[in-house]
Amino acid sequence: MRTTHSGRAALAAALAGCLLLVGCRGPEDDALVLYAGAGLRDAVEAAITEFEKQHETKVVVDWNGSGTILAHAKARNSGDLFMPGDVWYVDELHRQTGLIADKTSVAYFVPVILVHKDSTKNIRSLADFVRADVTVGLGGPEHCQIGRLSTKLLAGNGVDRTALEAMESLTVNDLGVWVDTRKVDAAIVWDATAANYSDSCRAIEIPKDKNIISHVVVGRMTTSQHPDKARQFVAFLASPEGQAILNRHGLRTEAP
Amino acid sequence: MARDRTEHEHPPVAGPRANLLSVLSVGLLGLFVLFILSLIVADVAYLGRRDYPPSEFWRNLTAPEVLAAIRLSVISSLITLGLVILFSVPIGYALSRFAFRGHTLVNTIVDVPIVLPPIITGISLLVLFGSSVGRAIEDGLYSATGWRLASLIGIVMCQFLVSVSYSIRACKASFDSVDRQLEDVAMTLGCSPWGAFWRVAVPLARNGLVAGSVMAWARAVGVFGPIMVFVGTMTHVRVMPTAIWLELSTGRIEVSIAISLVMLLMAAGALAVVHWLAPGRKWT
Amino acid sequence: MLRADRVSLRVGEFDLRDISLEIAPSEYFVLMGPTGSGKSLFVKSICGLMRPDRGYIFIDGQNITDLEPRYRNIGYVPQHCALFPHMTVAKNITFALRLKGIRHATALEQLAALIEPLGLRPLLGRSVTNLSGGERQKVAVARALAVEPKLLVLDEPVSALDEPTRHEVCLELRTLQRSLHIPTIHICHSVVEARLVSDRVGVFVKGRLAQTGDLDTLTAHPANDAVARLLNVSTNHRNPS
Repeated sequence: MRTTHSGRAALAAALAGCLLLVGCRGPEDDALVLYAGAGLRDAVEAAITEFEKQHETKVVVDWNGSGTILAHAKARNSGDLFMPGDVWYVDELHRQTGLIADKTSVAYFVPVILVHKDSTKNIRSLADFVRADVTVGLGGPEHCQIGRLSTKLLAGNGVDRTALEAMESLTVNDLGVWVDTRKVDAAIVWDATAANYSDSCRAIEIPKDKNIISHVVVGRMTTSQHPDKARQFVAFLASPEGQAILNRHGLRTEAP
Repeated sequence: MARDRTEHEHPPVAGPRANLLSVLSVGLLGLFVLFILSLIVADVAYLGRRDYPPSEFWRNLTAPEVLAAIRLSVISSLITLGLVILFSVPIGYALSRFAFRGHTLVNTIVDVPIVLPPIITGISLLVLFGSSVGRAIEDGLYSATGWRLASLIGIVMCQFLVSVSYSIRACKASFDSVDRQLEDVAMTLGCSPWGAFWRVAVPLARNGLVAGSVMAWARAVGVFGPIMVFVGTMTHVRVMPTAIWLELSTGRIEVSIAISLVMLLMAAGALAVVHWLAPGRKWT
Repeated sequence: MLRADRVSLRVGEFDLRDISLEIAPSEYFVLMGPTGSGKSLFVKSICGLMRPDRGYIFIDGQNITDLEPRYRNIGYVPQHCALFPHMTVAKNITFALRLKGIRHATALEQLAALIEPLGLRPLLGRSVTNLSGGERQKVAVARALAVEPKLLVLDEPVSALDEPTRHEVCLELRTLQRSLHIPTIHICHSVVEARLVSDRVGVFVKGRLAQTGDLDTLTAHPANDAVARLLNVSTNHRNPS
C-alpha cells in the first residue's frame, strides 16, 4: 500500500534529522566566551589564534553590534569577557546589571576622516565638511561612540554638526561601507575602521590637539566560569606580544 | 472535478497588442525586471574591480568558515523545512476543512508571524528564554541532553517561526482548491478520514504544498535578524546571512557579495522548482 | 430496507426537519424538489457525510446513524460525479477494492461484470478529464457499485447532460438497477426523468418531506400547491386539482 512507502521515507528523514541534531551543543564548557564588537574582528581573531596556541584555552566569540552583545550578555547571564567596539557599552552593561568585574583598556581609537581614493572633492580637514558640495556621514549620536564623539569633535574644530545635514548611521562600520560605495564623500571613523578600507579609501589625520581619543576596553564579567583564564586573556591583550598583534591588524596601541 | 486546471485554462495571449493597457503593464514589467537585474549586475561589477581577481573570489568563497556557514545554512534550513511541512500540512488541512468555533480568529492569528517584523521574533525569543521560566527550560534541556539553545536548535527555532505561517497559508490555499466532495466520495468507498487525506487530498494538493514548502525554505535560509539577536554569531552557529553581515562589518564587502551570490543561486534554484511544479504549465 | 426516522439537520441556511421515509429492497426511489430544499443534505446524512442533529437512520434494521461512511456500504455518486482527477478511469473504478488490498489487475477482472454492460472497457486507460458527460456518469456509477453496496445514491446524475443523453443514461440506470436488484435513491428536478425510472417518488419542499408515493398518485393528488407546481413546471401541462 502506498502509505507505507511515504511513511518509511518520513521516518528515514526524521532519523537523519535526529543525527544532525548532534550539532546542538553549545561551545565547549571550558572555552572562554567573549562578546565582541564585529568591527574588531580582524585584530581580535589574530590575537585569539596566538593566545589559543600558547595557553591551550579555546576562545569562542559572539560577534555582533555593541547593543546586541549587551542584550546577549544580559539575557544569557553568562559569559567571560565583554569587548564592545563602543566603550560606552561596558559601563552601560555594568550600570544595568553589575556584571563587569573589572575593565582594561587595550587599545586606542583615534578618529580620522575617511575619504575614497578616487574622490575629486579634495577634502583635507574637518573644515571642508561645511562645503555645500560635500556629503558627510556621521555616527548617530545616540547609537555609537563615534557618533557621540563626532559632535564634540566637530564643535572643537569650529563646525556645527546640526548645520551639516549629515547622513547618520547606527554603527561606525556602516560609515566605512558608505564611503567605500561612494554614498558619502567623507565620514569620521576610527582609525581601526579606516584600516579595513585601506584598499579603496584613505584616512586623513585630525590634528592631535584638536582630536578626542577613545579607547577599546575589554571587561571581565562576574559571570565568568573561568576567571583566571579570562584574566590571562586580558593580560595577553595588554602584553607587548598581544599589543603587537593588535597593532598589525589596524588597532593603535601607542598613545597618540 | 477538473479543478487542477483553474488558472491555466486561460494562458496569456501570445504577443501584446499595442494599446494603453498592454503598453503600460508590459512596460512596468520590463522596468521591474531591469531593476532587479541591475542590482545583481551591480553586485557582480563590484567584484570585477581591478584589484579583485576571480582567483581571490574563489579563495574567499571556499574559505573554511564560509563553507561552514553554507553547510550550516543548508542543514538548518532543511531541518526547518521538515518541521515546517510536519506542522503546516495538517494545520493547513484543518483550517481548510474543519469548521470550528473561533475559526476566523485562529485564521488571523496564524497570519501574525507573516506581518510581524522578524526582529520582533528574535527579541521575543531572547526575552522569553532570559526569563526565569525560560532559563529553567534551557537549563533543564542542558542537563538532560547537553544541548544549548545557542546552537542548531536556536537557528532552527528562528527559521521555523519566520517561515511556518507562510507555509500554513500556502497549504490551506492548496487544500481549498481541492474539491471536498472527492474526499467525501473516497470515504463512502471505504476510506477513513485519514485515508481520504492521504490518497485524495494530498496527491491533488501536492504541487501547491511543495511550492509553498519551497518558498518557506527560501525564507528560512534568509532569516537574519532573529538569529543575530537570539543566537548570535559564534563560529558554530554562523549561517550565510550572519556571515554576510560579519564580513560587511569589517569592510570585506567583496566576501559578503560572494556569499550573497551563492544565496542568490540557491534562491533561483528554489524558484525554478516552484515554477516547474506549477500545474498545467504550457508556456515558458 | 432503508428507514429514516425524523431526521433533522441544520447547516447554515439549510434546514431539514423531521424527514421520515422508507425505501423497500430493490426499489428505485426518486427524490424531487426545488433547489435548496435539502435533498442533497438528506442523502449526505444517509451516506454518513453529515450527522443529523436529531433522528435516526436504519439500514436492514441496523441503526447506522452514528456509523462512519466507510462502514455503511452505500454507493454514492455526487453531483458532477467527483471522479478522482489524479487517477485513470480504471483506477477510479478499482479504488474501493484496492483499499481492501486487492491488486488493481485482479480488481479489474472481478469487476468485469460491471464494466462490460456499461461499455467502459474502451475507456479504462483514459484520464477522467477527457470524458464526455455521459461517460463520466457511467464511470462514477461503476465506481460506486464496485463495493457491492446495499444502497445506491445518485445526486442529479443526468442534470448536466443534454436531452437525448439524459434519456439514454436514465434507461441504462434503470436497466442496471433492475439487474442488480439494488435499492436506489435518485435526485432530480425533472418529472420526465422521474417517469422514466421511478417506482416511487418523494417530494421535498423547504426542508420538509411534503409527499411520497408513486408518480401517478402524486400527479393526480398533489398534497399542496408547492408539490403541484413542482410537478406542473416540469411537465408543462395543467394539473386539475
